[in-house]
Amino acid sequence: MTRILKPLILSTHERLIEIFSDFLTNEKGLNVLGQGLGGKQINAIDILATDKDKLYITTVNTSDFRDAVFRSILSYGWYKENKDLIERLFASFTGLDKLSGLEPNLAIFSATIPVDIYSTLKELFSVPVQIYRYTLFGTETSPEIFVEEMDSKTLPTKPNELDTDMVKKELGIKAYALTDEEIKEFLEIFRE
Amino acid sequence: MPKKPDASRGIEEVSRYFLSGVRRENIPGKSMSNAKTYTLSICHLNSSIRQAFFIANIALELSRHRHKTYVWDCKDQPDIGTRHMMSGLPVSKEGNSEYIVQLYGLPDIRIYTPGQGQKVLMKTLVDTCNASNRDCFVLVNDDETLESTHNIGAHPGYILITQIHRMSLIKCYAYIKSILGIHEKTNIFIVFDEVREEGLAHKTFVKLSRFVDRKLSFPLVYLGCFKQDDHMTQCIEDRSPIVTSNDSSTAKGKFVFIVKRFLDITKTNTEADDEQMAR
Repeated sequence: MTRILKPLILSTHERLIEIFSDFLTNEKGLNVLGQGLGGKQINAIDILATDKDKLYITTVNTSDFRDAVFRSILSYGWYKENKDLIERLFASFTGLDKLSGLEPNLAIFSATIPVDIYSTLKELFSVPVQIYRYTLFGTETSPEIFVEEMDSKTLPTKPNELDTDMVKKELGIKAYALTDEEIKEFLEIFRE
Repeated sequence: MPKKPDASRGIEEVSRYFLSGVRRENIPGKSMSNAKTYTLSICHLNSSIRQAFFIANIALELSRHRHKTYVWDCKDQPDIGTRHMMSGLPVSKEGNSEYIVQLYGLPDIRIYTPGQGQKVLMKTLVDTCNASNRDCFVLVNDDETLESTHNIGAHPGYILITQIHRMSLIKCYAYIKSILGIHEKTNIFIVFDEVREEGLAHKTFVKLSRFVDRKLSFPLVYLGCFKQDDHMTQCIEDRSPIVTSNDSSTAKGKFVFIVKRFLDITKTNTEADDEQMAR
């Protein structure tokens, strides 16, 4: 988890984009090519960043996670449509001959992340997705932000699957006397 | 010199046995000194309708193999009982709770639908089968308690049909543990339903059987798996058996395969038991 301690004022979406651009540059070592691509009206790609292998089409979410996924899909569509333009604009900054050789990745910054979403997105998209959860503390004028990169291990899973009583209740198998240890061990073995 | 039997049935034989008024039960068939009755409880852990569908098709396949087959249907309700899954076949009612599926040239299938409090009568059916000189199969469409086969005085086998997601599998494990708490000697066969790919089903079975072997020291037997199949879904919606449908499909072939496999395993086990008894 990274704690961003810079003095900042969280008033706009653009400000959050700036903060997460800094995060990607300083913490992840990425090269941020541009912010707010497509202009304010379209706001197609919040942050476009790259390392030597991958291109990160990043969406910064300030509302419901569903919006973030939808905007992320639109961002990818916009990137595909305007690939040539993006390449002309940014290829010289990266030191790479072509951007098209880079593997596109989607990245989403969001404060709320639904349970089990990582596996669902993984199944749904052929393009790899990275999810960052940010947590806002403090006040608008004196905020603190914590950013955490999520992966399948750190993403929340359905709590009731680990609650053995809930499992028994759901299956109606109390009479069959499964022990809590058996249930835990079984679910662990069959975890995908 | 005794006359050699013909290689195939002649018209005289066919007409006498199948076109005349002679009841098929009276046909001089296989008479076996060591005939056995196999009681088999079939349970689909995810769907009552699919359970009835599986039982109907397994019963028909057993009959196709010339086995006398009975169905003890504890779940007979409008639309989901085994007899309702025989749409398109001649089913006649006899008495209050007995239905007969008449199959041309094959043994009839008798379906019993006991009412509340009549479960004890199942022992009578098994005893009657035991007294006959033919191999008989009694398929049980049991409810979730699996209690119908508890007091029949024999060791029933079980076919557990399950999907392969975790919650279904743990339910399956719970059933296995429950069964082994009642019957020390039994056979439990596993069938996976609505799987995406066969390789995944096989891997899942290996994991499940290892877990059961480690925890309960009991070997499970894998019969096979059914992929998601549009033809099968249509047959379930139409309440018609898939094994008698004209259209060929993977699911139809699977029923043929798993019943054949089940009969082969049962035969091998029986021979091993008889050999042990002889010693």
